[in-house]
Amino acid sequence: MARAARWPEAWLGVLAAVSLAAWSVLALGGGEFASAAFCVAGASSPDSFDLAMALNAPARLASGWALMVAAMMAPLVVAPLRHLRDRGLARRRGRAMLLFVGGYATVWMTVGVGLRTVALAVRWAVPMPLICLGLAAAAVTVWQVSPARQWCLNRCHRHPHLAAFGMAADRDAFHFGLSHGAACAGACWALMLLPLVVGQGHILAMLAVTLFVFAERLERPAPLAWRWRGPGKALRIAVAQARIRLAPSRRIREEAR
Amino acid sequence: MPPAFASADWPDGKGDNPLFVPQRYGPNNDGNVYVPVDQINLSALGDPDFTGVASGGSPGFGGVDTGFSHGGQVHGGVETQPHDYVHGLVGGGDPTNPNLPGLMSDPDTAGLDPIFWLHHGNIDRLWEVWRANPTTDVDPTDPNWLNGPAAVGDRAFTLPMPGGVSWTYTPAQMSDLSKLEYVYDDVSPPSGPSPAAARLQRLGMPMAAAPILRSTGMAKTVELLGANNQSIRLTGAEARTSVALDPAVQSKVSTSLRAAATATPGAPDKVFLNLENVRGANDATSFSVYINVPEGDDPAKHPDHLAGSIALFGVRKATLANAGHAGDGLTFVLDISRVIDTLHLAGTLTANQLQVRLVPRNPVPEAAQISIGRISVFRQTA
Repeated sequence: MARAARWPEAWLGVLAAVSLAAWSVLALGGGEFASAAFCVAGASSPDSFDLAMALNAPARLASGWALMVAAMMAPLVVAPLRHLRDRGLARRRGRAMLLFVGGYATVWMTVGVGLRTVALAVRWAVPMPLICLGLAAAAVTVWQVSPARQWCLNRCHRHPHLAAFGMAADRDAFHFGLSHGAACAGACWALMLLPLVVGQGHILAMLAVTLFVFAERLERPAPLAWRWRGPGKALRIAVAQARIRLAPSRRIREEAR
Repeated sequence: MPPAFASADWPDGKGDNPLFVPQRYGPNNDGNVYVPVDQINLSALGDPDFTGVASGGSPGFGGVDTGFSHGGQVHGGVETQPHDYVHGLVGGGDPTNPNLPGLMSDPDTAGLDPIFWLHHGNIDRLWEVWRANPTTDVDPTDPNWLNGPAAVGDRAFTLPMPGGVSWTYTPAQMSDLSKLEYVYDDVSPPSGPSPAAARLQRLGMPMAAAPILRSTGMAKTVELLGANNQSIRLTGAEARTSVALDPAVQSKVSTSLRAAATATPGAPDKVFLNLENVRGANDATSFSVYINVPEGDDPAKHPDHLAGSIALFGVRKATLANAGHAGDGLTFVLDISRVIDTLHLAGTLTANQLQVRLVPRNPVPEAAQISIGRISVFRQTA
């Protein structure tokens, strides 16, 4: 049987390290959530707005957002990166992956500008944190069940053909990053609002969203329809795997039957 | 085709043969159903690995690990040949409607043709033939495979039975025919030396020195050797493209082929042609792939340049953007090691290019919208 190599591939280790490093920085209070203090304080006076703007300088917001993207998206780009590596020349793999990540990050950083603006506006207009969260949750729920989201989710599973040589290969790798980023952003922009509007506990919100989206990626592409989408398949897998691992004698009996 | 399927009438009746369906058009779309054996091959039986890779190398006898998806993008060894090709040959297409395949040609309707059961009975028999080498050709032992699709969150295999009951079963229960209360008359392997030994002899290794090269279960290296540079539309009588080979990777292949002739330990590289992201609207499309046929020659006169024959069984659904394949189409993998060996022995493998010709069995109408995203070549170490 053509099994995978015994040790995890090095690039997976790099991806895991980048993600863990970003999580660590965010968990230790780095990044952008100074505005959480503003939200919790609940004031909406001009002085507070000036303070909010000072605490939320674009560079700080951008770096914080970049850390969020690195932390949360790294596990989700394993599949497209593997496709890129498998279908490209071995000597170009590193370059292709960097170009993909560049395209992907370009989309998310651009989308981040819009999401941060919306989140700040919501928290400025609606100082009460629970109502902030409720509004974000409502947006998430409507988007979550919409056919438009399914359209985006389906495109997250695409593995396009890629040129092998020269500038065309570079172009295709970058474009793959852009298109995959656009599909991901389309599917998850509403979910990404949740950690942005949550005050205390934003790390937990990020973690919950990451796990949810990762589980959702296990579902296969599906027809467009209004329906609930969630981690159903991940739960079924967890139950089935627990049964298999905890009851090996059942498998042996089935084989012998 | 067995005569019992061929006529609409029983001997004592009219239009009462349940084994006959009019939407079984045959390889020439004229209702004459037969299988041209020169376009069928059993090379998958020579693959010692049940589970292959989706990275461009051998897809394995049984296919790649997709979590038991009926919608896997890369078709497995026996799935491609003879399974897909017989579906396409027997079903054919409606000669009056360019996008209406015969029942057997499309996965959604194939089971409606009673001959489906004979075809799949033979595929099951070929699985038993493959398992006749128990020291090397073994089914997966992964619990996820043994326990079936339910182990990976999908619907379990379930067969409706007489009396309105259902039988839910797993692959683990399929491993021993005697427990399933049926056997096949003939499970003898194809005659002749093993494909691996025959290959070594072809490359110049004396038979006495040819080791039995079967799967060791060790990880194989698969890497891209070359690719063409644009998508292809397949319409009419033929399509051609040029696949550029990376000189450094090609050198590795040539080195391994030369090493085989000197009985150097280690098996020569295998080479696989991939047709990636094949899309279209008509599953009743089948074609043969030739490599480096001399310009102006009829490919049919060069069987040694035949890479393989493919039927696009499942391509319509795989092209739908909002279905299981996300519109990526299908990817087919052909073992072209034999062709590469021929070019190597003729001294023409150094050209850094392969000329690929796609020759449909019947002219492909424009309405079928058949396209191939990329044609690529991969090397795989043994």
